[in-house]
Amino acid sequence: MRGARAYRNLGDGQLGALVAERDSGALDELYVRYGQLAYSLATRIVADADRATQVVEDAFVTLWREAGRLGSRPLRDAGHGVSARLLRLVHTGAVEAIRRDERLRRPGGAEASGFDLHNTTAANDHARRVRRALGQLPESHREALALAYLGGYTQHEVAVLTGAPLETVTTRMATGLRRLKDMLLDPHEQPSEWTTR
Amino acid sequence: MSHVEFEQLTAGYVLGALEPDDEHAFADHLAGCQVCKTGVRELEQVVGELPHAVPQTRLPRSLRTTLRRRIAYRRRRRNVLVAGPRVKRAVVARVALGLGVLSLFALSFWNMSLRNQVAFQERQLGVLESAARVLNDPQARVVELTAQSGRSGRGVVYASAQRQEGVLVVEGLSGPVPGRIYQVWSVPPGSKPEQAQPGRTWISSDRPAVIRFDGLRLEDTTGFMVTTEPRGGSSAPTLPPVLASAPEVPVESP
Repeated sequence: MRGARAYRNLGDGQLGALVAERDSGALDELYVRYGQLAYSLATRIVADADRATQVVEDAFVTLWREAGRLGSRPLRDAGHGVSARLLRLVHTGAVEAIRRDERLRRPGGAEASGFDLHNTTAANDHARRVRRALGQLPESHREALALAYLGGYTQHEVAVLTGAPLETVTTRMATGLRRLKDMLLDPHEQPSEWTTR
Repeated sequence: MSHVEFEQLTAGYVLGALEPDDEHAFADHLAGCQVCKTGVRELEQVVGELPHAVPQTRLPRSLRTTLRRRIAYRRRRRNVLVAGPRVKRAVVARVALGLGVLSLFALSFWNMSLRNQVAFQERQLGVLESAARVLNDPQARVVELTAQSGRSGRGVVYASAQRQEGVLVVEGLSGPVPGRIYQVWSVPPGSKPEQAQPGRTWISSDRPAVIRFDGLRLEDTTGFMVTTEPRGGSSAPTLPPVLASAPEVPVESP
């Protein structure tokens, strides 16, 4: 189709603006860019493939409806506002799914919920950079982040699973994210305004 | 809960790891706290990077089809607001086409103007050639026309009885009033003025004019005169002459 190549040349912010104007081709392009990332996140959290598929599908549909409601202004922001919002929707949907139904949770506890730091052959430069940054965190920090983000556990649950005091878990998560921020984010980059939750 | 205590919940909030009560309390605080809003935005960006560190899984093919159906996906041809290279090429092509069409119109108009100008000059050349033939006729009669009734201007008629045509060279006439033109007449002796066939009329008077005429009985005693007539000419003079050969030709009132 004629428009498909034109979408490929657009930035995420431009695609977000088009999605807000009900341009389904723009959402399709977002799917091409972030569909696999979203599905990989969902399957890492939810053990059931069909349920993970449903989570991703719902996340894209929510983004589609939400964008029309919020208007195009916040979507025009540079940076990765649209992709961050999409992945947050996927994450929230997946965590809600496993909290509602424990059978969907991956068996294996903390070990099963860890980040993939070693398989870098298929990853792109950006993914390698993220994995390298995570690898530089203390194991206890990385574990706390993984249990919360990929395991869907609350801070209290993480404290129980790791045997650490709640304050320690809270500090590990906060310190770990701040260190990642220093390693990954451009200090001159403005954060996205699209932070509805 | 103090602001410092809320700040400590920021990481748990962006990771989705707060207990429900803490999450609601933090959300309420966030609505009115710019410092925490900024902190949340920054950490949300960091959390947005974490999916890059999970094992990549191949997408099921059915997912895209289902998603397209749910959002009523439509293939569109012209809905991209910000033009990519291909769209830009299409826009450039259309602009070029438009300019081409405009240029074609402009060239056509210019061509028509040139053709009209050439046709006019060809007519003028024909008049001058005819005038030259009349002037070369050794039998041609030269009749001087003088201004009448306080009007300005003068003229000379070269009349060839042999060729039954004549040439009026006139200059210095003040312009006719709007809506009227000049017309040349022959005045056979003892007869009413006759108009050339077809009637010979003109408008310009500022510069010398060369008026060729024929279709008249040109005898040795034929006089000539110029009158102002309504636009389109008249079959008989409607006003006294502006120029006339001597003696002045009497004109009957219409």
